[in-house]
Amino acid sequence: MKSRYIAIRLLQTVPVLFGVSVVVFIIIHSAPGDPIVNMLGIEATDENIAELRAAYGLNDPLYVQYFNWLAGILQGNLGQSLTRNRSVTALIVSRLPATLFLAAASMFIAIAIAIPAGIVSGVRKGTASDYGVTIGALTGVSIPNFWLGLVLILVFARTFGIFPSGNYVPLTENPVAALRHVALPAVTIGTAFAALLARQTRSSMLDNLNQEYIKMAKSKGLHSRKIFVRHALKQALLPVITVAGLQFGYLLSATVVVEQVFAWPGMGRLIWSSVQQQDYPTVQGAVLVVATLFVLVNLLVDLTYSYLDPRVSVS
Amino acid sequence: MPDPLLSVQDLTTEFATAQGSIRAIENVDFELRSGETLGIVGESGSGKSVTARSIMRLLDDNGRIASGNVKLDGHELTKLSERELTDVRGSEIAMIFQDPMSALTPVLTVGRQITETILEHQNVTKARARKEAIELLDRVRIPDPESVIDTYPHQLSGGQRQRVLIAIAVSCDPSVLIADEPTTALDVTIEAQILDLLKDLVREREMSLIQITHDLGVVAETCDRVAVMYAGRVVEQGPVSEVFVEPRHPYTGGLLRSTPRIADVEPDLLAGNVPDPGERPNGCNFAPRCPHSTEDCRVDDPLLDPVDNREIACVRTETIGSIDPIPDEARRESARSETGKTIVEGEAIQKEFTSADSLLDRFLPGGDPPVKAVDGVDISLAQGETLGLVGESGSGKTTLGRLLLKLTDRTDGKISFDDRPLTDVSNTELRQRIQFIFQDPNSSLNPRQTIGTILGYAVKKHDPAADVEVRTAELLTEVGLDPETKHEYPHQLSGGQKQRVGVARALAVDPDVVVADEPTSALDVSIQGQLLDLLDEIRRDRGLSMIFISHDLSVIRHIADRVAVMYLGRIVEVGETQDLFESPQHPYTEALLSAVSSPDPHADTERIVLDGEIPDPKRPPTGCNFVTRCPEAMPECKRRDPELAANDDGEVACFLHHDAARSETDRTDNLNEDSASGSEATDTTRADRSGDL
Amino acid sequence: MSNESTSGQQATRPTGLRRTWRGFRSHGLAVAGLVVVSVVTVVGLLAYIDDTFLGNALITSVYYSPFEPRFIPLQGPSMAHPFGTDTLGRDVLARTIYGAKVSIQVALTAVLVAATIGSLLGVLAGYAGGYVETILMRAVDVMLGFPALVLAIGLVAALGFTLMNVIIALGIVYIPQFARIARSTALSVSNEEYVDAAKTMGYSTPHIVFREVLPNCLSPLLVQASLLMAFAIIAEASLSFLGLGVQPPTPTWGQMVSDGSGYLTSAPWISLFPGAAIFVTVLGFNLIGDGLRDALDPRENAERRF
Repeated sequence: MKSRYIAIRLLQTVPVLFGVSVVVFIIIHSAPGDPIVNMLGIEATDENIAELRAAYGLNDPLYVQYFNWLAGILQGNLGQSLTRNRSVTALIVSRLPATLFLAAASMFIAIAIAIPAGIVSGVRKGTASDYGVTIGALTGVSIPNFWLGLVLILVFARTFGIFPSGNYVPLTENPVAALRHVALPAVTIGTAFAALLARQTRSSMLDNLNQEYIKMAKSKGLHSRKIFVRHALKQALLPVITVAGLQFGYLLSATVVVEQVFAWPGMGRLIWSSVQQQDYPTVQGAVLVVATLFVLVNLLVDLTYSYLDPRVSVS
Repeated sequence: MPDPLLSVQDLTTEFATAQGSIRAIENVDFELRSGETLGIVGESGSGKSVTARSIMRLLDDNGRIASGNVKLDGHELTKLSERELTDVRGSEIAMIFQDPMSALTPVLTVGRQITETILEHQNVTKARARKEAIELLDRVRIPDPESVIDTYPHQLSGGQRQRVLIAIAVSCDPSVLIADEPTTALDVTIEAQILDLLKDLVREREMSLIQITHDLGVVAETCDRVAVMYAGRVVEQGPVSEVFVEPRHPYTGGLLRSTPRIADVEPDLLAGNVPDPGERPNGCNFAPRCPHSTEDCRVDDPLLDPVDNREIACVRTETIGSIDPIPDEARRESARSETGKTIVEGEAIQKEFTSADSLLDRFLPGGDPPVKAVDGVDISLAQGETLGLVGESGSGKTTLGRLLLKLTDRTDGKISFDDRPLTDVSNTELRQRIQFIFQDPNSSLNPRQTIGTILGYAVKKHDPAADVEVRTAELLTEVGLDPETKHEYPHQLSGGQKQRVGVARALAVDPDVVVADEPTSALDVSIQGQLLDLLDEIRRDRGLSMIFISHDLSVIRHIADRVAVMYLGRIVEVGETQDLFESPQHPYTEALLSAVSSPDPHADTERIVLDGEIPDPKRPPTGCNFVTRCPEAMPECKRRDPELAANDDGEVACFLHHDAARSETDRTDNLNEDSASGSEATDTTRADRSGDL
Repeated sequence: MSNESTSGQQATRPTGLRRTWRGFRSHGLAVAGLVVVSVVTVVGLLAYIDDTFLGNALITSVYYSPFEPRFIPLQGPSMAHPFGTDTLGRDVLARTIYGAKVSIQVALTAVLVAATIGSLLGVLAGYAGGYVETILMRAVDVMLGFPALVLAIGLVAALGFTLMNVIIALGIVYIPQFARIARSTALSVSNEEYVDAAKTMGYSTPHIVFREVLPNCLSPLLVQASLLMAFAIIAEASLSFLGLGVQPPTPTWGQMVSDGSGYLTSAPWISLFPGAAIFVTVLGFNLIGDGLRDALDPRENAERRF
């Protein structure tokens, strides 16, 4: 009864989202420094400070502040930026597409490389291609992404001038330029992601090829290509989907750093600059949005997996 | 004599391991003639599975055929390329794997897995292949094949999955069928069905069958000829009617003599263990355990020599002659110690399991109903007796055993220990007085602890002041192990040895009652007898009361004083061992008894083959649980649950026998029975007990 | 019912720790990883001693001092300065050595603490089941709903940018990861018969958890620990690259890469060497993790008979 499973998973996500919002709230409110003082500068008088505090509702007890904030979120209001003259929601809306585009491009590159590589590596275990992929994956996972980004800029942007070093161009504006601009940052993030996926695909493939049902398929006289595609592949790719979903979190983390390197105006950069400026409402809102996105992606991955694997019908 | 259909000559297979190259099988020789059924029988370590896989060339990556040949219809199989093999596999020679759950691809429907075989070897359309698949499913006696064809393997029961494997194997009419332990993973009554089916199919399609098994009874019943394997070599080969009646190789003889039987004899056990593949002795592999061995036996591996109508690998066979397969000692009607008063008693015990994974799952509507693992069971154990608890999967026997020790909490009912309700007995006292022996030797000992540590904790628990060293040594000796074993880790011991440690652990606290949960099921036949004897001896020496749970009737016969038969959570019959085995009352008991195959090929086997599957415990049938399969079901049986009622021959829960029974509600019973036996009335709509009088 | 498999293995093997070491040792790469990590650790230790006790006497030119004329900025690699000098004329090699101190400190401490706490929580959850498990795992789910670095940034922002706080932040981020693995391992271990046997014997719950269940959960946790140490190094470097980690003048590798980012064409060595140091160290931990995983793989150690 798949619908029952779906209902249960959906219901289970609600408390998680709730918990996420609580954690975000607590963390941000433990931050040192008084944002009001920062906002008004050193000249501020005590009255000014007190006035502004009341206006921002900062005198209310913590749980009241939390519920006000939560109520606001559910209506789409994430507060007002302390240092930039815009609402947090507006800021996020302006930055989110860039990050999503970058994340999608990175995932695309990663999957396109990793899955075939992992499959080949698993099927041809012990051969040169297997070692090549394994070493490549190890390297990819160990290179710090900011360093890789700098190297890529050095080589491709400065030295050879093939790809520009960052600067987001929306897909809707100019597709070709958009792709050229996203190339280097996407490869930067995609490399480590590809490495993770390739390793997972390989081990999943190996697990699969050792199973009894593969032997059984052989005993029926089926050709190895058919066995591979029909019996092994689908089964092997299932766990990879789950891992890809979990590692999406890695993608989101990576954007914080890589957007910095490539001056990419996305959520990552927003979080960083807001932390620097002590613009806490923005940090709060941005982290909440990123975390929520991650939780929802995981939910989607779970549901997709349950759709594809016939064994999952009861929770 | 026409040429054999399949001939295996001098086959040797090796595996490359971290310890070097190991020979799994050596110089294996046998033939399969057209239309016959050959049994390959052996215990673990014999190499019978490897032989099958070598023939089909389905070895793991690290295995290869080192030498020898395999000729199918004149074609040499060992020399074929993978490509050429795809033409042979499935269409000329097919294999039925042992574990149907792992042999079927989980993500493909059952139908797909059948049709792809057909489409591979035959030039037919997809529609035609599908039709054939449905016919095949019907032929293997799967009900409702049109819908089953689109189900996934995990949705079917074990027996049904095995039938699917059979359907796939016969789909392209191969001339040779290899069945690798096809019934080992199945319940006894289902096993009977499958063997019956195989016999039918083989006859109908004129195939030749190689039946690989460790079960001598199966061989005796189904095979024409047999090849007995020990430690990687064939030791004896010939017609079953001769080999099993007058075995000549000491191993064959030993195997036959040590098998627990239903008949009234005491097994004569084989000492020692099967050697590991890397540790086979010089000369005859069986010599260390052979009661007839001499120095001559340790020189070279004996070759298979023809003697009369068969082949034997034994240098001393002239001298030894033939061996009596049936031990002489009549069954020791176990010197029954005076059985005392009732020490454990249960009344209307119920245990339900929910299959919910999470809290949400439990509260949302639409989930699976709970499983009534134990549904109203009355049971009693007297001091000093051994009560056998018999049943197949889903019978609830293991759960019942665990309930008596409070390993799980019961849902309802009363259990009393020593005349006191279980709830009044403190945990400390309970844990000291009742102990448990577990089933799986690979899982019952902590792999990270030495035997000494495992037993040490138990000894300390019982008596913190005890001398651990001394006590551990005593316990190990009592179970027949060398006290030095305490330095070893579980993985260094054999299955039989591990089980003995399990027994030692249970005895460390000096219990009064022992519940043994299938302690021999995971062991080889020749080792089973050793463990059973040990348990019997310990029971007598210590004056223990024992509940022995098993699905294996011949084992129960050997050790139990009284037997209780369970089916789907209920007890259907209870009686003294001898009475129950000689004249069973309940139809289920009858079927169970007839399903046990005897190693005597001349035995008269009027097998009762039950229809259908064991019902899903989540949705038991209304009325008597056995009604869906009972050959003697009456309309009455669908309406009411028969109660366990005592009569002269024991207790039985069946309306057939309630004539003799005098239970509290006997009057109403009688009335209903009279009316039921009189007419095939449309009684099924009436739900209550009121008669129509 | 004897279980038969079809690729033979010997039944007798050395046990436990020795067996693991043998398996590990047979993987050349894994040993190489161990060597690399040991070297880096020793280097870090050296830096620690020099910094704390010897007052930079041994490794000089780490911190800038305007009073000393020997600081010549942007010098390429030479005999005097094998890794060159940075924008303030500090010796890049010396600073790289000092960077090792911070990285190793963070990685080892954060992961070991997280492993201990997380594993205990996870094992308890897995063994106890019921409400305990549900509550703990929901909490874990919440924490795991944050991308790791994002959560770390938030925590460090709240706590302050110091070494200790970086360790705490990463520790908090990693605890749920260990808890989840520990729980699922504990769950399957709790289903083994020897745990039931321990209950039948009446052993106390602490005995069962610590002596029966936990020792059998260690393998995947060890593997995870070394893999997370690799991640911790990158995480700390990322934080300091963003300026959100340990603050100057304490040299950290991430910081150094960031400093050199403006001079990629003119003085690439400023970013290159610290970046390479990160790469090599992380690779070392990953190799150890892989080696452990292969050595502890139950499939390889399983007793298989014919």
